[in-house]
Amino acid sequence: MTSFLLGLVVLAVLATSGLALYYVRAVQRLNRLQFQTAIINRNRSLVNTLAGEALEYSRRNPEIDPILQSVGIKSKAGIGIPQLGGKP
Amino acid sequence: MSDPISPLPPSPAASELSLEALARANQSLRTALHVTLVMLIVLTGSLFIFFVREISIARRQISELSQVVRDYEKNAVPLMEDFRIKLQEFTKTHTDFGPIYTRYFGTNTVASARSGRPAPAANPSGARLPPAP
Repeated sequence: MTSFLLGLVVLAVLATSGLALYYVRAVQRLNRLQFQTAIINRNRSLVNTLAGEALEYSRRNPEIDPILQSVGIKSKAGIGIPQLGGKP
Repeated sequence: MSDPISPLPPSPAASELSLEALARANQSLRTALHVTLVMLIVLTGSLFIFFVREISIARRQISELSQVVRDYEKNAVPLMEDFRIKLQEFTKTHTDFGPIYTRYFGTNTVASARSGRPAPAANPSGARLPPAP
């Protein structure tokens, strides 16, 4: 009975230790992805701000309109949609 | 021959009793060990279940964020790069757009021109997009 219980304890400790190691690796990977996501959100925000400025510039100089229309910032009707790169 | 201090001879029942007491003590120690081992198994099992749940949550989040990064690299990056190239070309003929372009993409120095990448500029707003791949 004692040997059986000792064997169970050893198995349980080994399994839990392995799982703990896997958990630590998963959390590290999650942290890296969260950092990447933060950079992606920052880039999207910058590009959207740029799109807004380009849209503002197009009011002074409509020659930029074809560029804005090609990336979907401005519709052919001339309506501005200052969103580029999608929402997160 | 009886002991002069204790005139009575040692009874066989006393040694039997001490043997019995030892057996009982051994049994209770064994029981205590078993109970401790079972508690240890329960504790380890609870920890195992906790880690399983945490790993399941982490894996779901990893899957979601991986999808976000993949979508960004597949869809947004080419679109942004295309936009950047078109604006760069536009800036060559419309210098008044230059300051707006520079604020976000930096200036093209000689070194970066050699490598084909725009160098990150130090601009007052701090806003800067990553250089072209």
